[in-house]
Amino acid sequence: MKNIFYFLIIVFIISSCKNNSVDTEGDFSVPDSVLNKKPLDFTEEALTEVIENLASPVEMASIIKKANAEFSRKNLCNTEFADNYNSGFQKALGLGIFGADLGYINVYNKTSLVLEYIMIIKSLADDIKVGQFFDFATLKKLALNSENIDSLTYISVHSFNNIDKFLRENDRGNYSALIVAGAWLEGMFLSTQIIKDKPNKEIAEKIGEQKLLLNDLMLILKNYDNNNFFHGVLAEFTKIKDELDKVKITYEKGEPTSVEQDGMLTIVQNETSIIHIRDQQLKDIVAITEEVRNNLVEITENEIQ
Amino acid sequence: MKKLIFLIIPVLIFLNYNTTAQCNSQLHDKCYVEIKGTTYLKDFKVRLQTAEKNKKSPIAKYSIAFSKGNHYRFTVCCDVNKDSEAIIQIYQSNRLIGSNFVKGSDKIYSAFDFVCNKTGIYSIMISYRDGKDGCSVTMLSLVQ
Repeated sequence: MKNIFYFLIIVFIISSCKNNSVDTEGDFSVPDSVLNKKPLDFTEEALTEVIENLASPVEMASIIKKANAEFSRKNLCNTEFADNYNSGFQKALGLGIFGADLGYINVYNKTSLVLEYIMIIKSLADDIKVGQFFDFATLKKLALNSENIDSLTYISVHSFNNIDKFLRENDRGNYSALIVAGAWLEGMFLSTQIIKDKPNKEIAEKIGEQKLLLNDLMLILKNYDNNNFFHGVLAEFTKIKDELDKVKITYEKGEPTSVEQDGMLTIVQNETSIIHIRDQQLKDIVAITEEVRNNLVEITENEIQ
Repeated sequence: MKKLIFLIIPVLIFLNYNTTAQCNSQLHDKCYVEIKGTTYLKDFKVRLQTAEKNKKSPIAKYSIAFSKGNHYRFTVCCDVNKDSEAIIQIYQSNRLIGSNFVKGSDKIYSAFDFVCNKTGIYSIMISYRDGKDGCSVTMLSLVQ
């Protein structure tokens, strides 16, 4: 009996040690930059690997709301279009598009629309074998409850983050890139539609500065350019890039500052980017974004492959 | 003796589960509570080993897009079972913009705000003070 007791103690110690060692497969995986002992760099090659938050499903929506723009149901992508998405790549792009719409819906507390969008997102996610990261039951409960909008937003965004992480860690970075591309395009579409209806300086600047982020997004997409679908998506995105390239961005130098106030540390980056965008340039960007977005959301199998 | 074993087994199982959970989903959930009132964007889960002798501390690096005019909040939650504090540094183009570690006061803040005035790709570096091993969740959220 004593032996069993000692055996159990040893088993406990071993299992505890195992859990506290470096876990490269669980939630707390060590980032590649550490595992590979690569020197830290900031080269363009590094940027093509992974960029977090390149197209957040809620960030652009928050900016639109902050600019006091009204919610517009007509700007959302029609969920029926998803019936035409046959390939995994189309579904991944659609997942990003509907994900950005869900972010827009959540930010504006339009809970009556949530269920329709989480259902289509769940269906697309299941089809590309990432549905397990989407907590549909909880999201549905929260949507019907229509009170816990913060939790709804959190679970939606967290699910998308987990999907993105899973795809990248399982050599399916191409799917991840398309989800990000879809989310970026829909965020761009939603913001340009606001401008189309009513001029807004703040949103116009946001649109202009997408020039910087689109360049990085296209670098990622170009990694898969040998595939027909990616080639088609890149051709469409190039149309927007050509217009965004006409936007001029200048910088005003400034030193960052760190200030503590009421126990909270605030770091302010005082170097500023200034967006120079003319009315006609903005109109052209709005028009081409609408064209590209509609081309890609209504896409059918034969059109691009 | 038999009774003692039956008493010890559940205790060991509980302790084992609890110590593991401290550096896993529990830590994540705990951190989510801390960001209340802001909009969750991303989280960075980092577990690093102790620095090897005479070598630099291990650092986790992430590239991230920040947008001008946005007010971001970093909330850091460290594993309570480890005596380590996470240091977050924000870089752009090899230039240090700021950190939650203030050298002058030798203080590490568990949360800090970052006001971005220049859209672009930034680098976030996460390490542990004095090269200790550590485990943490850093949540990035948007302050409205």
